[in-house]
Amino acid sequence: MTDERSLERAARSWLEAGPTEAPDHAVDDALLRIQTTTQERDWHVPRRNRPMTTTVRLLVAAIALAVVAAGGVLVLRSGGGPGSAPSPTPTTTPPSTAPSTLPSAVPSSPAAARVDYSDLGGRILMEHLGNAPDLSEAGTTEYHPERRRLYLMEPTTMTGATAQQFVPGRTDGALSADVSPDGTKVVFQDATTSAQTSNHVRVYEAGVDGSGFRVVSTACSCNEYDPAYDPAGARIAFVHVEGAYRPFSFGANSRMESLSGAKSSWVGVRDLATGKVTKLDATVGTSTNAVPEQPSWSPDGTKIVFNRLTWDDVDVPGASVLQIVDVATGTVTDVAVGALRPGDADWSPDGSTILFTTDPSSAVGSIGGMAPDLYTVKPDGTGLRRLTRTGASGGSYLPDGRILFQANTFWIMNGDGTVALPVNDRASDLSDQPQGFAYISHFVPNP
Amino acid sequence: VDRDLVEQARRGDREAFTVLVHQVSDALYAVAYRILRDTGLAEDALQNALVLAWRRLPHLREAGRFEAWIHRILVHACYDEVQRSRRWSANVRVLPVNGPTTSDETSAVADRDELERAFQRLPVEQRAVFVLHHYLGLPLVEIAELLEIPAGTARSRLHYATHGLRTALRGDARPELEEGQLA
Repeated sequence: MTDERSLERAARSWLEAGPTEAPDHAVDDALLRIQTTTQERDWHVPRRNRPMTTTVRLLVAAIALAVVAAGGVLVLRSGGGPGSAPSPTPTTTPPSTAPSTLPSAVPSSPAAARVDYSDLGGRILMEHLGNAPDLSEAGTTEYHPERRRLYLMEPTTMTGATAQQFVPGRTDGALSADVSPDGTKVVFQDATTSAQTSNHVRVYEAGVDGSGFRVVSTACSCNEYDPAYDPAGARIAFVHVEGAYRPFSFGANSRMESLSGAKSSWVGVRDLATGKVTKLDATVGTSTNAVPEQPSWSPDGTKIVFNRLTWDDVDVPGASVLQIVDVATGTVTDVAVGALRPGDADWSPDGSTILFTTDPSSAVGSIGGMAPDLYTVKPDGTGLRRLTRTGASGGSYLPDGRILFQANTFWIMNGDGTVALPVNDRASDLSDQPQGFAYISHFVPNP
Repeated sequence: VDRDLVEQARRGDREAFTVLVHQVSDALYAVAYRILRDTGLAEDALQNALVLAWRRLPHLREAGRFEAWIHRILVHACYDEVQRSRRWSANVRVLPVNGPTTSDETSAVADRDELERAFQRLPVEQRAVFVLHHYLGLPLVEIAELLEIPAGTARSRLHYATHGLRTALRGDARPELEEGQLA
């Protein structure tokens, strides 16, 4: 295929394939933005018919100066503008120097915003991939994608240097964490340590202070992963995949894959006190494809939302659907989100919306190579709303309904996607090769 | 595209522009996708291009040039999408996919995969010219005019794009030949 004509023929044929219709939601989104966008004025240089006299010139100059001065006074008096208006619910409001737009993937200037999140009432648990964020491993030539660790960070002081590893030495393959509602415990899966010794992925739990480290999964020829606490902290939802774990990777991504042909995968609920597992039969899929991922509970504990991801023939994440299972009845319903690939779902504290990331590469431990953004949708599939436009992932709700998410570092925005501000601009870059990549954030409320 | 609609939209008529948007969105999206090879980026480029076109529409002098004009805005929106750095993307490396098997069915798939990989290695400016030429079928002179670049620049971008694809495909093909002991 390397001679000129055959190359051009192949290229034309290849170019013909692919979408030819703009998604409705993209066009609707643009039209919505246009409704609030004013057109630029078409300035014409006025033609002067007659030369002005010196007196007229001075008069015009004086008028111009007066207009500029009056305009300046008006601007100075206008203060913080509509963004500083009081709100009946907790919201993020921009400081006077902060950008009020959604974040660029590269935050514009470290000094652009100073936001005081000292009243946040908790910490951030960071899922991290690659070299240690304190740069202690920066001298290595690789970024070491096998290194997956959890770190705790105080919002007011967080930087790569001050991040504290969660249970050092025992969580070197940790990912897919969740924090108990009371902020005292963490569940997570281990995709390397346990898998290397047993070829099976297990769920672990430990206190936020590292105490009581234990394996939650019971021995089986299966994998258990993506644990999520229920609202009472008494049960976890998790994904069960039969067969052995194959340490497959697409780049830095990893996935569960059966070594011995298609077997069953499903969402289960485990009672943390008794260990009893309830299999949600209606969620069963094959273990090589259509695997359920990343469950999240509704705030009343009656339903679980999860995504079901398929993989294409070169093991790249393919289609994904968002589904809700009723825990009592086992009924599964789809949540329509168009052609988007949803993943990493989180249910809002008031139960009204589900937050998710498109291009759910975060579902497999990495957001690289994709173009993820955050959306919300109502549980009945209506009200699909795009919250970010310039790249974001790993979103989760704070107890007050705001959203914590990741875009190189961590940001907080209102539940409707307005006013995104960095949690701490001194941690302006937690995602680069020398110090590894922050990719998922979880809020840890103070006990 | 109806020139009267363009004129009405130029004068601030949002309803008229909405009709225009529905007329051109599919074509613009198709081009954006083929340049960017990513649905999410293509959607962003389309949206940004439509919003920018609305803002700048009063500056459009000839209503009959609307389609070329909005394609230029779209191509620049594609440039912006690529330039918008996503440092986190550094954490993915595309692992080598196994070479094509000997069956005809899979070799076509492999060819497309090779093209996909090779195309994504090209600079976005070269990709844009390649798509405008081979997908929209525009002559180089029109591409130069559309993008407001010298004709020689358009020609060289197409040349380097084609050369880059050919070189990359040869490079990708080489291990397959060695494995098949044909070299």
